[in-house]
Amino acid sequence: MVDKEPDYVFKIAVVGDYAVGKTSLISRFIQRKFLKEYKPTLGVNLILKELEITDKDENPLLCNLVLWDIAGQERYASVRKLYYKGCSAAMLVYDVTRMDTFNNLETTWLKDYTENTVGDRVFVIIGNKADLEDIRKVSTQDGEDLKDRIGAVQFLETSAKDGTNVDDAFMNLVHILLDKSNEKK
Amino acid sequence: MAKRASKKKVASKKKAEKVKQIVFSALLEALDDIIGPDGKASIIKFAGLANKYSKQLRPSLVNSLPRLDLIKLTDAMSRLLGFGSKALLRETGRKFAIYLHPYGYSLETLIEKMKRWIEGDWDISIIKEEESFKISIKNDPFQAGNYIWAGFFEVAATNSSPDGAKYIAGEVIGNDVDKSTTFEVKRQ
Repeated sequence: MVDKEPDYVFKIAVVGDYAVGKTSLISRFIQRKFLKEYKPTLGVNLILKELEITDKDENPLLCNLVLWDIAGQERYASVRKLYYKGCSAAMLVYDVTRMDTFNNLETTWLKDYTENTVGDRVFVIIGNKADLEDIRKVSTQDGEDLKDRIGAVQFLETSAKDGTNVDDAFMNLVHILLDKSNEKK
Repeated sequence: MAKRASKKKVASKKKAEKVKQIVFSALLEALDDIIGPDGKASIIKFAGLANKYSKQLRPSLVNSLPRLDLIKLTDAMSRLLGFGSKALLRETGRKFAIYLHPYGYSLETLIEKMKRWIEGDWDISIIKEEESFKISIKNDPFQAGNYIWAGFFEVAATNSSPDGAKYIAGEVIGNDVDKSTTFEVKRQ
């Protein structure tokens, strides 16, 4: 762990239906490995990742990402609204092989996020399991259209299994948040 | 070098000081309720205590555990849960009070018990006023745990109320000179 105060701290909520691969995406990003067995998250998984990055002018920055991998069980519904407090952004994740998980992004997860946060809301859309091309139910165009319609700042298709676009999904979001923080200064 | 040696001394002193297991079990149960088993495991792991606290603890008043572990746990809670919002810490504090005294001790009794249950150079005092309590903590045994205490006091004060009135912790005032924190817990 780096023994220095971070220049930035961003809390990011990772949300979506069960088994879309939220925990796997985080595991791929943080630990560089794919979780082969599905184990439902009970409550939340909390991960703090220290990133040493550079800004546009190549100045080094220390950025702490606090990732909140939020499960959707009813048991935690009453306190879940508190999970979103202080979030800098949300990552809305669906599974490209399950249309219901895509439909629920707007009706459930975006609603949950917007109802429980205030101010400038930043969110990205992630279509995970893009390696399962043969059984895909949600097209890339569907994802792009949703991004434009709901005002997401980014849409990417990822594969936690083979690592495609996973780093970009997180790092692009970090840079978007950095830019927004600098705009406010 | 001298600074490092002195830090080590403080850490080893805190390691020698003990906290009754019931305090840990109540705090971990509270976390389980608020952020679920995986959230609780994340906190324990971040605190570097996964080997020690992965199994459920009994609410024992006989067994004791190192005070340093309590500091590590509450520091992890503050860093992972506290960012951007203190609401989860406060809610955890409320549950913590409930698990510590499911039968509802009064605020004064619970504070007396906490003083006995957590060893060390910390102190807590309470002044009862007509519509409120003023509670002051010196050398807080919870690392940056002000909001855990705020929730804790709210529940305990409400339990103390003969007519069932609710109490809310208002402004929390920190004093860096004497390392104290003062809470005003007011009748709603």
